[in-house]
Amino acid sequence: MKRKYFIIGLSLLALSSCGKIIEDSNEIVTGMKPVYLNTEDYDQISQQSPTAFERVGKIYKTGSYIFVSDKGKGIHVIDNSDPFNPQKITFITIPGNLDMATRSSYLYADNISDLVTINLSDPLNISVEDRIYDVYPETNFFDYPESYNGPFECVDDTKGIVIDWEEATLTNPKCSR
Amino acid sequence: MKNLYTILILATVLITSCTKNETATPLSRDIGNGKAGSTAKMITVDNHLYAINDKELKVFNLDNPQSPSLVNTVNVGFGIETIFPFAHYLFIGSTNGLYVYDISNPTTPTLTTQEQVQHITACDPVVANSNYAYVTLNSNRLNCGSIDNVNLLITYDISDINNIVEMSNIDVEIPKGLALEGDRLYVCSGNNGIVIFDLSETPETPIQTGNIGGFTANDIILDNGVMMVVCEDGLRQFDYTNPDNITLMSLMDL
Repeated sequence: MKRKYFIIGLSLLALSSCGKIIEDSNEIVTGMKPVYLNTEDYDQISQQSPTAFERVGKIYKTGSYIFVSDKGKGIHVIDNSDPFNPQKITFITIPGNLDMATRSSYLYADNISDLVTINLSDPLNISVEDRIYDVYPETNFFDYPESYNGPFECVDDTKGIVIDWEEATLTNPKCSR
Repeated sequence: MKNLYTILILATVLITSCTKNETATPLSRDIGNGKAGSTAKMITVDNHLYAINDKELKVFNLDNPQSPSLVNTVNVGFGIETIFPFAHYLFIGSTNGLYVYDISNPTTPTLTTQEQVQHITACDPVVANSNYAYVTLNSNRLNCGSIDNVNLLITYDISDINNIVEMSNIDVEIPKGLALEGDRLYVCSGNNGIVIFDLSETPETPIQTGNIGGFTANDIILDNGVMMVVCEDGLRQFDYTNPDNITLMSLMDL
């Protein structure tokens, strides 16, 4: 009698541990977690004095200017009148930004789901001239941390838009690559 | 008295130094369109902006550049990644292949080939001249392919744009952005910096002649003898007026 229950118990235990994360393992590891932007703040575009390169992205050149995007953050504006001595003159914060192009003195940039037009005739005093909504329907910009293999905290869309990833101590992370 | 003079001199120096760096060269209205790197997802051609998302090509009219207007949306296919203009064509790189659109009528891009020119699944920027298109395939990035270790430079003959033919494929370590000028092709490659190919004898099979090494390059723009390279650690610029003797002009790594 006792032996039968023992065998049943053992089988159940074996079954429950196959291919499933055990809920209360309290496994603590170093991994990555998403950095969220409040969905209402996604369209906040501003400029500041030059910042360091964080995640060098794409490049565009017009006249004596070079633009270098910082993945998901915005655009570095570089005065390249002297290619031996290029100078950053400002950083334009554009949440979620990945790409840019120009025509005349206008800069076009993606801003999460939208395409914005920025007036650069005075690069130290930019203004947003126009916004076209929903040019980019996918908002899964950073579903997972780039160039990373390991555990991470799964994205929770109810928390906002993921615009970055950072190292973190995770308890029982459910996602990994 | 001496102290007063000192104070006056200090004050003058302070005042004059405070007025530096408050202006920047205005970006002229006459400047035209500029140039993008090969990994761009948006470009301007004359008075139109072409922007791609995951599967569509959107065409915006820029007659009023401060207020673009959407004039067309073309369904291209899945996994489109890069866009490159040459002559009256747009070359769109995707994870499945190369799409070529005729933009003789800028508002209505028209596919030149029956279907996209297939290649194995990998991420691919493309550049082109009148006869050839060069595409780098790299499966090392996440989402770039189901096949491990695809690292290739493919050459397509596009002299008949309606019948694009693959001419060669060459192993290149982790290839990314690339640029083409005259008979030289410059390819960003892993940690090898920029790998240089000579196209003068056999443009259908680029011949590697060397590299500018020591950094991880992602994309590149060539402009009037100045090569601008975005690298993992910043922006490098090189003088390539003599392609056989390319020299570093500057490194901006902060």
